[in-house]
Amino acid sequence: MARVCNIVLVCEGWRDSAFARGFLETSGNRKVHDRRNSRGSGHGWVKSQFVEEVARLTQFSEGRGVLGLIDEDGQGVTVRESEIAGALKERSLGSLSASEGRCLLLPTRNLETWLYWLKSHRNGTHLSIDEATDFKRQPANGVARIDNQDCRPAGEYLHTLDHTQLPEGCPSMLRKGLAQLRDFVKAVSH
Amino acid sequence: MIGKAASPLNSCRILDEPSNFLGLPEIQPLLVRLQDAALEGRFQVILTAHHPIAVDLLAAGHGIWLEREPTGPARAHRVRIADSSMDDKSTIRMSDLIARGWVSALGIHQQVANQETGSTAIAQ
Repeated sequence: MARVCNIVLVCEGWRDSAFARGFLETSGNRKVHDRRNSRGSGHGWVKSQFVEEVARLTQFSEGRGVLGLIDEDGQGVTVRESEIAGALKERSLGSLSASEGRCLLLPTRNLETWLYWLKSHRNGTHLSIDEATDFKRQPANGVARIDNQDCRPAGEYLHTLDHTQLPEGCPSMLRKGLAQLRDFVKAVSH
Repeated sequence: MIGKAASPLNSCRILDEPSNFLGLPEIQPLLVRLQDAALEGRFQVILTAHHPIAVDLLAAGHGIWLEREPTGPARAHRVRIADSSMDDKSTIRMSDLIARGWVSALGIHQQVANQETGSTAIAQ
């Protein structure tokens, strides 16, 4: 039988994709269509493609959910969310709602913030991390720089955490992101 | 099969047109697995591809363009975005550009011109 993808993943690059696939695959969702900007980072590309893919959800019954990842990059979570919400509204595509299969994750300040925190917790070192520093350019103090090999395991590890009992110091957007991912996985499983 | 095969570190897989004989839904998953393995340092991968799915997924980040004049040597050029019109708002796919022969935006003709005038070779 042909492979049918229920989830479309839209993100800026391979690292975001590996992280998200790590989470989704651990939660039993292996049929993911990967849409990433092979030309490198570009939140404009992710925004437009996310909206396109949400539109396709309404056209094609096989699609159950679209998961987007965009670094907040110091622009403000509200700004990022409202940009996408506005674009969805313009096309009458509803609002962002993980429980309805339209999930947007906003790593703040960027994915590396989440990767450092998750890696340190997985290793038992419990790094304290803020959501303002650009850890993509500047590695966290006293910790080895995040590598490609850290991305998928971070997503897999995130799946093992309880979103209602996350440890102190968990970045707020990661806390929100995990709750959204739980809702999203539930939505696409139905 | 590729993912499950023994993969000693520092090994390399060389695949000629891995998309041949695969159903369309199977091509991206295979390429993504190969890219994962390469970027996670499990093994190296060299593959040749003409398939649009492969081009669109891999060429911008990892592509090497090979071309040869009828009587000349084969030349290799790193594929890179050399045209400001190919920014993140551009929606034209790289495979579309190649199908049309519009490869100037990928920096390839510029590299050829530079080589012919003896200036900078392939940008790294």
